[in-house]
Amino acid sequence: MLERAALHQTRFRTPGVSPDARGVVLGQKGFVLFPSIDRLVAFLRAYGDEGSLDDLLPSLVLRRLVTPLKTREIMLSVNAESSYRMDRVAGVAKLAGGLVFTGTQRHFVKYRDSASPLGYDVVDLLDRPADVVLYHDTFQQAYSFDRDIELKDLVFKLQPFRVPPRERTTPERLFATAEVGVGGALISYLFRWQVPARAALAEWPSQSAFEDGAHRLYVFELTEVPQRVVHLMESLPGVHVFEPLGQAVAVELGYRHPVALDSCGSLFSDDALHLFRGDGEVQIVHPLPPFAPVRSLVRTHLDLEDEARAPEGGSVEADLTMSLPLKLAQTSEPWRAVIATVVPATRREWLARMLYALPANTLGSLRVAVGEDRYYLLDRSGIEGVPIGTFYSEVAPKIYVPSGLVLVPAVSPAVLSALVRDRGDGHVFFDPARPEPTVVADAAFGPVSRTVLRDISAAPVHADRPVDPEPPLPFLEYAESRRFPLWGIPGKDAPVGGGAEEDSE
Amino acid sequence: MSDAAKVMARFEEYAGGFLHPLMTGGAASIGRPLPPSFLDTFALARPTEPVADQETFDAMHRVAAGVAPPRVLPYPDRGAQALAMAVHNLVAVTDPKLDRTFARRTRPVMLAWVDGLVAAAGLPETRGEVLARHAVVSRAALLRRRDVVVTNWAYTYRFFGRPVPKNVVAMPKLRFVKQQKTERALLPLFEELQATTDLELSGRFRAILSRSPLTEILRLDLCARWRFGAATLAVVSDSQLSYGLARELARGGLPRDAARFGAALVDLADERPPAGALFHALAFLIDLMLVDTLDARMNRDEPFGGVADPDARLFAALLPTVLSSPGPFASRLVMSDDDTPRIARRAHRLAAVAGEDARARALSILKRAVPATAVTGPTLGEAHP
Repeated sequence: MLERAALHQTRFRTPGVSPDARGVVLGQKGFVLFPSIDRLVAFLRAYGDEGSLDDLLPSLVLRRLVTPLKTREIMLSVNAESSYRMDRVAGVAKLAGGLVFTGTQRHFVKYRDSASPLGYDVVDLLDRPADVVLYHDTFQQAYSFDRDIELKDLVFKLQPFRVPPRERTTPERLFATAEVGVGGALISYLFRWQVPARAALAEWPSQSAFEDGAHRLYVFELTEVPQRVVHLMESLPGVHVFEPLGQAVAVELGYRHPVALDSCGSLFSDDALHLFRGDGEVQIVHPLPPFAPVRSLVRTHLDLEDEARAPEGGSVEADLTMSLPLKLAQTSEPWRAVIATVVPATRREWLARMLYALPANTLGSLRVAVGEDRYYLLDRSGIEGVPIGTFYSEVAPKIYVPSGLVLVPAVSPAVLSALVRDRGDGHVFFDPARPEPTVVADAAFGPVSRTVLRDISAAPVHADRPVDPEPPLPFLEYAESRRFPLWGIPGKDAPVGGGAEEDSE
Repeated sequence: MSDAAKVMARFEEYAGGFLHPLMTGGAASIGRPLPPSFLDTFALARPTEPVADQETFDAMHRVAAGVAPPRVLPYPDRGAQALAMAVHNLVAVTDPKLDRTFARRTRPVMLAWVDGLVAAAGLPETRGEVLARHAVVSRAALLRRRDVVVTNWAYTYRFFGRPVPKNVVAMPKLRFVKQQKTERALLPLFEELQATTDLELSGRFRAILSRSPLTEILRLDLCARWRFGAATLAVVSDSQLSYGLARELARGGLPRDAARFGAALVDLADERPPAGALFHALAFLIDLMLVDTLDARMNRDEPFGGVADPDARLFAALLPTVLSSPGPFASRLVMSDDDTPRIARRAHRLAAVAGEDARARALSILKRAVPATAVTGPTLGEAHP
């Protein structure tokens, strides 16, 4: 049925094919036949992971074919362009279980393989009424077009699958949708934790006559979200968090779409947002509603019936400045950064007993400053080891408030640091019993061992190194040898008692 | 440089490089040989390094005090210095690098210097001299030579009594360097050299030992045939030295030297010595036996079981014989009620080991002993007259 193409062969029986620069038989189109839709999906997944589907999309045609015996198969057709491209398509198609052909209009002959590196040509053309005729070395088959398949529809119908937890990452930019009921609270929450976020309200027409009205969702665009906030939002019913894949597509966090959506971005228009949920539902926000920062959407309490709080300005002498003192207020928030304690001087004995019982590592990291009527203790690793006195939490660098209390208005740590002036490098302790905070200089803090412990005056006693009862054994070592060992020794010929002076060299 | 300056320079080398490490331990450097004419200077000179000098004296004092408390330890002592120089020269003869042209013929000269120094040392006259000589010679007897054979992948180097250069053992893993270290005592070293040459080294070493009677008795293993000489009799006649000797010998294990003591007693008795000399020798041996019996620790109660040597039997027969007929040694057998039964039990066992003939021989020798108070005998003074 097929014969191998020869080198420099220019005339072929297959209509619409010709040799390219390398001599490979190539038509204008490449044709891949899949036995089922799942094989097609496998091809798209593999090709998207390995390369970019965007290259194929402009000429990509998906159709369902029917044989005269009513067997249905799937075809994928792209512009062949070059044998290099067709080689890549053929490699992935074979992997996915597809058969690769090339041709131009109706007749498609098998693309080259290892048995015939330059491709094939048909021996006899099949003369049957059909939309497509495929020539393989094992069969030749006529097909009719059944229906077209839109790739976009196919992508929308595929359900994302869960990503193993170890492969999950939290991107810097996220989308989230929230039902209207929790959206408002979420806006307040995001504002309270200073999460950079923008929100929009999207609306879909009702899908059913039984629905009261349009379906509305808050859509958030979040950046630099802390991990804990992401976990909280994921666990909230009615809230879905999405990971953006390109400008217009996002897949729910923790899920991955079967097809690499970032490799087929041209499928999705930029003026819409396509949100693929983990349960398979796709929400298309089109057109994109205007987004606004959450700080602009926080609810404010305003009563129009109240008297105007901003009376009309009088003369220029009117004082428009406003001074709000920071106050301590109770909070139900869990204690954080409890690293200091203040012990009144009346409990000095208790503190002393406690220091005796502390382990060495706690004592080593503990720093203490002795004030007029109280002791200030600091431990950067946590003050829990010293369960005495009033615990203080660090709300800003070197600024402490009693644990269980917060400073109101709730200013940021940076603002708080700027507000407390003239403190130098000192530690600021807010005390509910005092109107002004207390500043303790950093130099006043020192290790407990140097600050509290008394100096030890050692009594000198006379002691000597013990004499070794047995000195080590001697061993002999010859000095440097000489050619004439006795040369130059004075008095070598003199008897005992004969002076050395008698024999001079 | 004048000859006197050269002699002093040699003394500094000798005192700091040889005598100090000899006494305190470490590498004793064997430099150029020391002629006997140096002795006059060396016997009076003190090294310029006071710390080393003090340490040398402390070490000598420590060794001497191990035997008996020295009231005066002469330092520097002419006799001890002569013996130390003799040891230095004798050891220098063993240098393998002397076995070559021009150097080989210096060996007899060096040995003649050894003889001259031993003769110049003479016999000790005071207890302090005995102890000073013992301090030096006992340490000299402990001298060892470290021989190192270094092999690498290609060559073998031998360093006999010389330090191994660092470059020879550098990069041991890369060059497959292996070192084989052995330590050899002096006497085997001398005997090995004697076997290949006609040099007499062991005999000269024993001559040095004979000039230090205390060392001679305590290191009987270094003597081929030990005898009660005049110096030895002078030492054992001194009560302090005799007791110290007995304690040291008993600590080392008496049976080891029993045959030597018996043979020395036989030699002395056969020579018909003055009665006082025989008395001192017998008194020393009896004291030795008593100290060994009373100081015996656990499981060391039967030192003479199964003795075959007749000399050892004679020595074993001394205690039971003197107990049965004390004679002039009766004062030495006066002891507490607790000790007397132990002595009797020991004597009973020794009598069984020694046999009848040995006891009869011992009795005949004991009867010839006359106390030194009656007959003039060799004695040691506290200091030089």
